[in-house]
Amino acid sequence: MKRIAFNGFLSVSILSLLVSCGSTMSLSQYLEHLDSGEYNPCISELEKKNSRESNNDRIRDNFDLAMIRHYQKDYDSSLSILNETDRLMEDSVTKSISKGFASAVANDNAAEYEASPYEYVYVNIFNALNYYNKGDLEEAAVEVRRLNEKQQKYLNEYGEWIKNDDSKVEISDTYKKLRLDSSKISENLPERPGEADIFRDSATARYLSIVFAMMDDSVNSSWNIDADSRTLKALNPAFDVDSESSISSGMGRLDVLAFCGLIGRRGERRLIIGPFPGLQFPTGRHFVYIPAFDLEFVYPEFPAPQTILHPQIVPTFGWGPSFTIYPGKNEIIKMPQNSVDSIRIVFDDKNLSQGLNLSLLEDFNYAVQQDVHVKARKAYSRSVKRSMVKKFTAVAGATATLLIAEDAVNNDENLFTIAAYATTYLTAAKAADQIDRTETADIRQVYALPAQSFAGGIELPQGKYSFRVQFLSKSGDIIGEESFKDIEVINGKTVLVEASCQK
Amino acid sequence: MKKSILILTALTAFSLISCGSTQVDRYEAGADVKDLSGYWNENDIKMVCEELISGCIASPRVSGFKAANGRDPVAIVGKISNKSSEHIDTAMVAKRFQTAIINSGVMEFVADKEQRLELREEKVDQAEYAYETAKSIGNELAADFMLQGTVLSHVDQEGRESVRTYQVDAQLIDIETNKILWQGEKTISKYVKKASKKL
Repeated sequence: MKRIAFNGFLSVSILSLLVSCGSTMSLSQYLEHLDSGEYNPCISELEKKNSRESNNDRIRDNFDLAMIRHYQKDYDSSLSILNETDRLMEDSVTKSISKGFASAVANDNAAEYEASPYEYVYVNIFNALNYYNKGDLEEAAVEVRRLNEKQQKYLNEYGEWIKNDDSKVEISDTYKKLRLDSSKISENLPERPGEADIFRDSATARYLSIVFAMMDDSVNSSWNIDADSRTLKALNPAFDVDSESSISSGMGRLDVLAFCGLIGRRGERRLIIGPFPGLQFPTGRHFVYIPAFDLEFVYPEFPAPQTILHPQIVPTFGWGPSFTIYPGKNEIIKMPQNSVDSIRIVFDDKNLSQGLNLSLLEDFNYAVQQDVHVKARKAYSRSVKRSMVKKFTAVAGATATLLIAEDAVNNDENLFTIAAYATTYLTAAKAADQIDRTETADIRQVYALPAQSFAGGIELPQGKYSFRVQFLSKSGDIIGEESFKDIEVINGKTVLVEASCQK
Repeated sequence: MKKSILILTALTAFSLISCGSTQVDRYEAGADVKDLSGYWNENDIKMVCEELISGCIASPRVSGFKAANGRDPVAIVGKISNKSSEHIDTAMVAKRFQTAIINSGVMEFVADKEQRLELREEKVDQAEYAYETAKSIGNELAADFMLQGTVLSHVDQEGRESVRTYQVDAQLIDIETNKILWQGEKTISKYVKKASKKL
């Protein structure tokens, strides 16, 4: 009885330890909850992950959690998490700068998640809105200043580094050392990132900077509104900055900044090249023949591939690898659906029946696309390097095993030792061939950011206004609606309201 | 049984290690605290207050007021604006300024805007519910001077090294005439070198 009680106690102890560690939901389950707006399971999952000291994805998980809190209008929680996230990002970016941005461009899955440059800027946009929505314009302005500092110090250096990076050389060098024909590998190297792929600024950030200065002149003493307007025009020429930032005499302004959808997701592209011809591997005594093998490389792709394609085999003549391209074996990362096509403001006041249509300010998906373009080539190059190291470690290991099996045959040649040698040979060759299957691309990112921002404003006489922000589908159906009551418009100033719909 | 005890002991030890314990060190008021991050902290507030307020109370215009009016000037702390790129609790800076000036005995202080509103509410309440002993409304002492200030910051960064500079400006303004009676500024620069790897 005593023994049963003790064993029971032991089981409970083990169970409680396991429970405290917590099992996590899969990424696809998490994204499914996020896409359907079921935030509570997401929050509990993120909090569980963040409670672990060893969470390598703390920056990402924090950011997701803060965004969900922001959508729930829990601005206090959101800003406290984003402040911590911003500090963590700063540490990580400092490391990244000192390493010449190499880690910011190509992370390993096992390494600590370092935010992408666009995330490094967006953290301040949403924190500025957290402070503003709490009624603290002064602290919201602090976030704009932080953002401006990052833009000047970090993004410029980052852009220069990207332009000067040359991953092709690394690939050629690796293959020269291994005496393999690198032409097929180099041919499939993702394109070198160009100027258009470098994330340099955010239209939403510039818009906020302008709007905050219009609210209170004193907050903008350290930034330049004209420069903001010029940058915004360059980032989004279709957005009419001049009319959106003017206030006629005797009037005030009501501005609306609306966010919709969830940001697009990157997925894994897997490239198989082969077969490479077999190798005569020197063992010291003689050569061991390692049969033909494939090489398999991974890199991120945007948008995430949504289907498993049939392998496309490109035949070659004579020597030379044919190659096959298909998406990774990892789970398919489902792209979020953004059904919002347009956003309009409908006033309760019948005299303002004309309403107002908001203009597209920024497509956040573009930032992910830029980021993936910048990272793909580097990730591919690193994958090639890692693949070669792993492949030849496996080949060397297989050779050693084969030698032992061969010795056994030499010492006592019988049916069993010969069979054992043959099995070892097949297993070793297979192991060498399979080694790349462990490669996975780093496709980590913040998932709870919105897909797009829209903005627009209207000049109004001083007074209080009630209105609805309507999110419309392509066919004009109202997908979401947010109501605002008695928003006060003051002469010569602007008031900003934020609305969002993640459906 | 012995094996089970060993496993249980190991598990308990593991769980205790994983829980860990929080270490707390207390600092005496006024003592230098550890600068952990290089951001604005208690030491900076102390340095700024000590230097700026000693300059303010030693100002000849402040002592000239007493000679001209036969009483100490009455002051109030206004807004200390945060124009830095860091979230700084400027209310804390304002309170430290106030404490330092009150303790110097050179100026009298009246309650700030928020406190005055609460006090007025209390007086209205007293007039209704404690008529006999109610404090009269309208006997407030108007401030002669207002202390205002601004916190600015600048970061110069190169790789893991950075210099964070904070500049705190303070002004004592005559409320009647808007004349600036005293102005002081204190700059603090901190050299910060971040660790290449977190342990």
